[in-house]
Amino acid sequence: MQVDWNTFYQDMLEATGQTVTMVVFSLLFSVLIGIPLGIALVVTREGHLLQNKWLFRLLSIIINIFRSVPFIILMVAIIPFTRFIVGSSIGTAAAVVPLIVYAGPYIARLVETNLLDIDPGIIEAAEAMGATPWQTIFRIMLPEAFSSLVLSVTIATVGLVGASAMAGTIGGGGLGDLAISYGYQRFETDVMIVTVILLIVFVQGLQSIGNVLSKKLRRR
Amino acid sequence: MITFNNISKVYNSGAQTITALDQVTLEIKEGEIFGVIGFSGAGKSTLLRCVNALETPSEGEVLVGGDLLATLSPKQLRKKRKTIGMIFQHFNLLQAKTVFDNIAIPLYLLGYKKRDVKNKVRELLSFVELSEQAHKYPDQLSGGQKQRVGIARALATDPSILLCDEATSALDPQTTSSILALLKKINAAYNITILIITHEMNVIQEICDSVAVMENGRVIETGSVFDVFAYPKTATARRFVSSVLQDELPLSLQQMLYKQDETHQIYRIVFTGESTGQPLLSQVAKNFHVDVSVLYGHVTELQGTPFGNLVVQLKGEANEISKTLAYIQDQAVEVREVVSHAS
Ligand SMILES: Nc1ncnc2c1ncn2[C@@H]1O[C@H](COP(=O)(O)OP(=O)(O)OP(=O)(O)O)[C@@H](O)[C@H]1O
Ligand SMILES: [Mg+2]
Repeated sequence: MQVDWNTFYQDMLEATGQTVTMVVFSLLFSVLIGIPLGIALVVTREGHLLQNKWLFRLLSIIINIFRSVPFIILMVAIIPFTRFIVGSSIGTAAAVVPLIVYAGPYIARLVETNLLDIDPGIIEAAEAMGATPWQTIFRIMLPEAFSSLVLSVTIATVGLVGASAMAGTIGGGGLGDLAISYGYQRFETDVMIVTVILLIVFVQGLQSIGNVLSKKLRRR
Repeated sequence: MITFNNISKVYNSGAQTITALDQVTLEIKEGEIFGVIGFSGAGKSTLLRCVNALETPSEGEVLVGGDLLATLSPKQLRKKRKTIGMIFQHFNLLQAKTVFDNIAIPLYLLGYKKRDVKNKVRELLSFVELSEQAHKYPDQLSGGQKQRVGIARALATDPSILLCDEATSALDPQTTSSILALLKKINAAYNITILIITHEMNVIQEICDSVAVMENGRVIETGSVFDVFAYPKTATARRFVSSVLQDELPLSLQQMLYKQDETHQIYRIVFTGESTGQPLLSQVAKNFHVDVSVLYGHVTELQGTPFGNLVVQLKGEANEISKTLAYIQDQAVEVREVVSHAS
């Protein structure tokens, strides 16, 4: 029943690579989607820079819908969309799509909280200086929230590591897939243990990097 | 420079309507330091924020430097705002940026070149005496230093008006004085019109030329600082004046006099300008058959003019006392009977 680690380590490496690929790509796109959405959620609310009641409500509702579907269901539910985007519903690339749909709205909410945390007095000062809404967003709000934004992205990345393990089961591969197919289905306890340790190391490493970076950026 | 023409501001919050400003008309002249004082909720901040259109009045018009604010396009308004600096009670500095960068922000927003920004910021830093702190962050500064950064930032665009919303309310008395001195220096050096909102009468006393007293959204009294201090007309104004001049009799004294039923012989003598220097009381004692005892007194300076406030008790026969009072009034000194509050 035991796996031969002399050859199995290669499977392990491959799985790690797949996890990294899934996390990196899904993170990249969900940040690209999440940050503008988060900004929009803040500046379109009543009394803010670009207040727009309907846009705000629409965005908020859409984000809530995505946020309320558990990832494992979301993954299956959007298979037609995934197939439309990447041409297939299995494989690493196919796993990235639901991961983005999952993490994008999540990041948007985190960014929203970060930006709302900025002292309104600072935004008022910008307005009093004659800054355009655009300048206020990019030259005042984002720099001021940058360090907490980094922490938010870290949280989202850790979430993506977890979600990518689930995504792996629809053919994306990765560490989660390995743990399930060997550790769970074939009772290879040592594979399970090694995978879990790797995931722990991953998460610890990411969080530490995030913390250090955020602290450095708190003052720029 | 700034004209409020019959402006009102009504907030609708739910079923409630709050009248923050109620038909305010005021004129602030170029180059003067104008103070607005009032208790919390009087509408001072709302009034100030109408000057740079952070707030739009529900009624009436605001003219700044000849421009009717309501008619400006968003773009023109932003341009106008660059001529109006603003400083805040809680400074509102960017925590993630250095002192230097905080002051540089308005210049970057204007699209200045790096080198020009550098020169201008250096000049401002030395003007507010913060050259040493250029590379510190706001959380490493004292309150007074933070306000200096706020002031330098407000001056970066060479404004012609400076708005100060409770700019010294978060500071201790000594730091307050140094910030007020700086504001005075700005007013003198650049001829910037300064509009100050405060609930502290000593701020008005120290640097303002004119003052308006606000209550419940209305301006209830306005005039030169000297006039309002020397001859306050409303109860609220008197309270503010008392808070710094201490011209009210202490309660213990009032009670003592009341017990002795001698309150009717107590007079307040107000000296202004040159009369402050006169040996008035010794002349009274020499020329009339009255005994003068000083109960309470205070001499201070208002807008560079000496100003004294003396509470005295006159003892003697009634006709002698009235002769005395007539004499005092002849010397162009104001005198009035004090009505006891002890009852
Ligand atoms: N955005 C707003 N919505 C509703 N009511 C408001 C708003 N802003 C101010 N008010 C109300 O208007 C009145 C005047 O407020 P304002 O802030 O101008 O007072 P203030 O004189 O500056 O007081 P303080 O000394 O406490 O700063 C208050 O009753 C306040 O509650
Ligand atoms: Mg206020």
